Amino acid sequence: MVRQLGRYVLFTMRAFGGMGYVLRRPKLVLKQVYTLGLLSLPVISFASIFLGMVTALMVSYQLEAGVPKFYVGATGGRTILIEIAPLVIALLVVARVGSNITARIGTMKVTEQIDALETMGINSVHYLALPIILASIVVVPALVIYSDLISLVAAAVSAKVIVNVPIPQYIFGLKRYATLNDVLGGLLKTPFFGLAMGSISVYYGFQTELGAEGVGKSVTASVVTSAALIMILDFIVAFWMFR
Amino acid sequence: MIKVSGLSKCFSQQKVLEGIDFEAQDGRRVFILGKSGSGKTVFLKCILGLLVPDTGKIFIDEMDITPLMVKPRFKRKLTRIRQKIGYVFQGSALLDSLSVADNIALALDSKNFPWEEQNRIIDEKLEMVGLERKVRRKYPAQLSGGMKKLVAIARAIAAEPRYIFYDEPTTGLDPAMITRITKLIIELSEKLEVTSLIVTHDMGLARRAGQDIYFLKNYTLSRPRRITRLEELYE
Ligand SMILES: Nc1ncnc2c1ncn2[C@@H]1O[C@H](COP(=O)(O)OP(=O)(O)OP(=O)(O)O)[C@@H](O)[C@H]1O
Ligand SMILES: [Mg+2]
Repeated sequence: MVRQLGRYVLFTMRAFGGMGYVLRRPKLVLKQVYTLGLLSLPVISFASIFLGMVTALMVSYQLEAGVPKFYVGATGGRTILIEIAPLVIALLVVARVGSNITARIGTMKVTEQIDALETMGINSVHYLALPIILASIVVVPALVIYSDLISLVAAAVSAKVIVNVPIPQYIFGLKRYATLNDVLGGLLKTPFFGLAMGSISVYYGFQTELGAEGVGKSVTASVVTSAALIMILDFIVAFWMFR
Repeated sequence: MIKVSGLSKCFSQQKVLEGIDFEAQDGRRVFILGKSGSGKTVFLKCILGLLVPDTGKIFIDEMDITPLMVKPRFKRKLTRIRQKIGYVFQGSALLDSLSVADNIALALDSKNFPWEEQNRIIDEKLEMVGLERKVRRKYPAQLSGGMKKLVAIARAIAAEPRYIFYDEPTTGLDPAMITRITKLIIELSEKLEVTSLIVTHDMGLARRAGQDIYFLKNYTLSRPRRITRLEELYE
């Protein structure tokens, strides 16, 4: 466990050693941003709509009679911004993108593509790992912002349709109570979620052992570890910002 | 010249290579024959430092490269030496996410050629292996096994190596493609004056193209006395 952690940290540091190499080839990162972002959009859109709806529903259910309706916007919107969208989206990205990254790199390992890079004088960690890590640091926050917007709209609409909160009231509540601190508190952690997901996924990809089960094993380990680390990070940020 | 002395390699408890001495003279086509699982691929990878040998020394052009394999700070030096070698992998090992042209361009990555020059080299190497220009834009998944091998050979010769390693270049191909690749191996070794190191279990290939032949068996290399008796050695 400790040795794994040490190896992971060392690996990530080695990856960042390729910054110069990658800066001279920005296309490597752009390609990953495109791939990772595109992979996630459908599932994120779908999930965000339902996140918005269920949050509006749950909040109005918990509000007691007599509490003004704009509180659905205030509490529900804030919950989405601070916690639900960042965490759920990050976990979804782990499931959709992280697993894909590990499987892709693991396959490259067992089919000797990584050896091929090395024999051609290309540092495989610089060439493969760093662009994915950098792209993840950008893509996860972007997806969370996107999800914030979609879920807030979905929440407002479903608040109107299901529990009959007028949309202007919802917006009023959101504007009045959601602070910049909330938005930042939700967003600031996302690059770290991206870093965790990206680096863990490539790390396990590179650790893949030869043989038929190798890739499957790596993917499982990668998804579980990324999800756990993201939840730990999430708690640390919450403790630090909102205690 | 490539020289190996006292090379041993094992994985956890499993012995694969033990006390191997080997030499490939410049310009020769050197074959290592051995059955499946005898350690042929491991041997090639040890020479390149893709696997680190447990004991032994490996000299490439008189330079002992084994110390370079263990220390990260020698990585750049090792990289420079690896660039003398083109490697045709057993499964071709083309990068799935890149087109044929980009795969070949990878081999030129460290040379920083201008774009036109790089393009010219890609065309030239494709022509050398007898592939048409239109395969440039195809992806590995769209190629047959034989074509993948040819592209892998084009990629291996792109950076003008002095040595070419072939790992099972004919396995899994039809007779026509085997003949084509056999001819290509001979042709490249003569035209480019490279040293070829071929590991295979294809006796026919060894008989047609081999100049020096080794046999890998019981963890170690030996030289058969006569090529005509190759099959017997296999038993
Ligand atoms: N990375 C590795 N980790 C553990 N064992 C390995 C590894 N690579 C090879 N081996 C073992 O070493 C032995 C020799 O493998 P190698 O791939 O060199 O055989 P080969 O002669 O190339 O066979 P083939 O003709 O099937 O390709 C095998 O028993 C294999 O299981
Ligand atoms: Mg092999």
